[in-house]
Amino acid sequence: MGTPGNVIKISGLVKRFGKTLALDEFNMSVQGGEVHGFLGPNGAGKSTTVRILLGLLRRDGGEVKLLGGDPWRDAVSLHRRLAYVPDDVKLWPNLTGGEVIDLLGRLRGGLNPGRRAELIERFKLDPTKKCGTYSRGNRQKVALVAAFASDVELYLMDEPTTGLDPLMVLTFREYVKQARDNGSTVLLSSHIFADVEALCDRLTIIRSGKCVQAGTLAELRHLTRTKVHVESEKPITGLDRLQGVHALEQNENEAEFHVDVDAIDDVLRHLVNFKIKALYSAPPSLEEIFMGHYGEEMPSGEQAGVSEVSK
Amino acid sequence: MKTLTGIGAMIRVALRRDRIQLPLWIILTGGFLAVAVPTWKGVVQTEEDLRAAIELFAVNPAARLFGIASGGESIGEFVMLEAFATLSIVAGLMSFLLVVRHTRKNEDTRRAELIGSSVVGRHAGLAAALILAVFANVLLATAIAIVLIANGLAVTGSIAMSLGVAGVGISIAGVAAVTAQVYSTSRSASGMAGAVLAAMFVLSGAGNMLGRYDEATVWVHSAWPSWLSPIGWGQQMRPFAENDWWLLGLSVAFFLVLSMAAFWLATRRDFGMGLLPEKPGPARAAPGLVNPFGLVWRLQRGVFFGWAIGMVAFGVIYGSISGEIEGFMAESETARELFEVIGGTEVMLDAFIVAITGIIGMLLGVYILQVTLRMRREEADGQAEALLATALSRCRWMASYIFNALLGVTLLLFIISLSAGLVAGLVLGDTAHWLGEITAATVVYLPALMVLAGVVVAVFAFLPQKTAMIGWSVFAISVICGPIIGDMLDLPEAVLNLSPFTHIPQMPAESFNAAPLLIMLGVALGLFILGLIFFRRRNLNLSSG
Ligand SMILES: Nc1ncnc2c1ncn2[C@@H]1O[C@H](COP(=O)(O)OP(=O)(O)O)[C@@H](O)[C@H]1O
Ligand SMILES: [Mg+2]
Repeated sequence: MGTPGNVIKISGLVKRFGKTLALDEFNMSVQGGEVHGFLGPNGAGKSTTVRILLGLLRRDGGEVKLLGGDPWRDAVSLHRRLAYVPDDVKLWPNLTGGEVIDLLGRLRGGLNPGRRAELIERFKLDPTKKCGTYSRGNRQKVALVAAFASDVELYLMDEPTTGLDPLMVLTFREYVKQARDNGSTVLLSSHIFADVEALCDRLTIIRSGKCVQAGTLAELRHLTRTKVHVESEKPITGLDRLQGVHALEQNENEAEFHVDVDAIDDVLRHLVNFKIKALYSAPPSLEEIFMGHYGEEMPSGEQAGVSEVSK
Repeated sequence: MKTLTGIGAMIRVALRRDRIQLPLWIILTGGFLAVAVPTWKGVVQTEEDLRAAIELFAVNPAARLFGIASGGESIGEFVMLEAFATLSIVAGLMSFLLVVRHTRKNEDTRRAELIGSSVVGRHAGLAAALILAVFANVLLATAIAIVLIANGLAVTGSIAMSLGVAGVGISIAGVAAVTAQVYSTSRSASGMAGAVLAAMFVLSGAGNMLGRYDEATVWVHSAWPSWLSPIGWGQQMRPFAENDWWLLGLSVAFFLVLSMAAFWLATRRDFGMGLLPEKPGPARAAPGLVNPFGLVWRLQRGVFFGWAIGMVAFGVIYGSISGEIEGFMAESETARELFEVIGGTEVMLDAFIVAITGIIGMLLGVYILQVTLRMRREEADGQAEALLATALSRCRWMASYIFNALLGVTLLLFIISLSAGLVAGLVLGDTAHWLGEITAATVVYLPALMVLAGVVVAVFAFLPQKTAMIGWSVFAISVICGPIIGDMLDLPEAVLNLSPFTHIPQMPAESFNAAPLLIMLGVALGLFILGLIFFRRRNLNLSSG
């Protein structure tokens, strides 16, 4: 397949809910054949954008093109060419997972029975169980199987990994890559950087309804910084003069900062001089990245998991 | 008892969650009685009327489904015959929904997992639900007793009758406590408890029907099946006649035994699981399911079959009473006047058909609302989002609800016509004639029901959040201003005209008149088109999160 040029082109998009301005002159473009990350903290406007792309919500201003058409006017014909995985999928409690997969697949225009069977197997889904008994992760799997079993040009996925266990996240990534290899385009929204980092060619970052960053992963390298927390016996000095250290906060024997990947080595060599007692490192949460970058308060969201590196 | 730690907090949480629902059950039940009891008293103003009415209940096996004659001497007894079975079912519904809500449903939605992790004993949730159920039934019984006594019925009998209702309620609460342990979803647990409630009604009804009628004492001696049912126990107490209190003990014992069984079962299963795993369903969708019409049919066919059974039963009762109606009317002057007002004719059988088809026609509005309001539920819950993101147009989606509602209600109108017509034919002879009369009188209600569907569809397109509220209000107003209640309340013509039901020709008392029906059909179609166009143009009203 493969659609050349822009599969999604959004410019100056505005959406209001009463007094809330959910999207404020938002811009985004997604090219054919890429996996595009759509990153932003909770409440940033990701779901709203995706729902406008699906013609479920009506835009209040701006331009939106999807697969060469108008998502509001041409909704039905466009929907034949795409598959959608909603955020926190809600299903009919008294239908089985298998029935829902067939239903969504058929209404979308048919699904590939071989792939359906394979996906059910790989995602370890029991299709004979009633949706009312599924956990959130299992409901997510139903929507994922229904989506990946359809051969479509575009996959719109709104936080598809929430609720999946880590093993299933790996399976999910495999199928996203496969979709790209088949020439399809994938828009993947998330509020966790690691999800997007593993898969995406390019990404758009949204915050409070505005596009704040867009580009390739390499261009947005600062997002791959590591957050470091260190405690030492001797007072720590000189960190502020090192290259690649950001958002530094410290007192005598304790420091917390973000460090660029290529500066980690230098920073660790520097720290050894102060007799380190403890060192923790973690990927920073999106909120922390924005705070480091813009020095602004963010509405609180989830914190990234902390992993202990040494001592 | 460590397993009951935290029960106080659990009860407080449960009471808080039910602070609207519970009072509503009790107020609506009390309100229904407050309206109904004076009407019933109006029907049997003299001793002869009373005796005739109770004898009618006693000789007609179908009427005995609802109760048994116990002497034919007091108005309380008549009220007991009219109301006890219905009140028992209301108490039963309230009780099993309450128990399942605070046990199995809590686990389904993982709410209890949070509670379970804090300092709450493993039996505290179940115990709290059962205590709340007893409390709710005591309140319900108090409300019933107050209304009965306020209407001048005997105090002892009123208390016996209302405690009998509460006895049924707690019995079903015990049943639900067990089904909530046995089944792993709240849907199955409620379904099974509901089936047990239905079985209790059938048992008591069957025992009464098979029983023996002693004409001299106006007394029905029930057969043994009645004694297997808590509804039967309540009736055998014979409130307003013998007031046999010891039968209450049976209900209390039944409740205690089942509660203990539920606590024991709870220790034998894992949290969130039932003793019986949920039955697996089909792994593939049947061809009939994978289109929007088939989907809507599948989602609400249970509701349809419930109604269909109800319609058959109602038809049988209504058909079988038709044979005795002339005789009863001949004896009771007040009943005769009442039917004349409602039916608008002096031909008693015609008046009777008008009254009954009117009740059925309006009642089926509930079915219309059940189907069409589902649109709003699926939009708010999120299922509509997944569907409307496929190549399914909003028009087809909405049309499948409209079509399902109209097809279902048409079938139900024919089902009751068939069942009532056939039984009336058996009783009165000339089956073809009665089948035709009753079918015509029933099916003319379809255009009014379509208007109701049109209102819901249009409101859903313009004011989605208010759909249920406005839909039910319009229905309530249409019923109150409709041919039966409106006539009894003597409402002015202009107010009566507000209800679509007023414009239905009251066949067979009136002759068929196509004009109002065609106008209503036009209004309904207009509302459907309005709904289809404007739903296409609005934002879906989706939850954010
Ligand atoms: N239906 C709605 N009604 C009112 N406000 C909404 C609605 N949907 C979203 N919002 C608001 O719009 C903003 C963006 O929400 P959303 O797109 O769901 O964010 P995200 O998906 O990035 O978490 C939030 O402030 C949210 O509260
Ligand atoms: Mg979202």
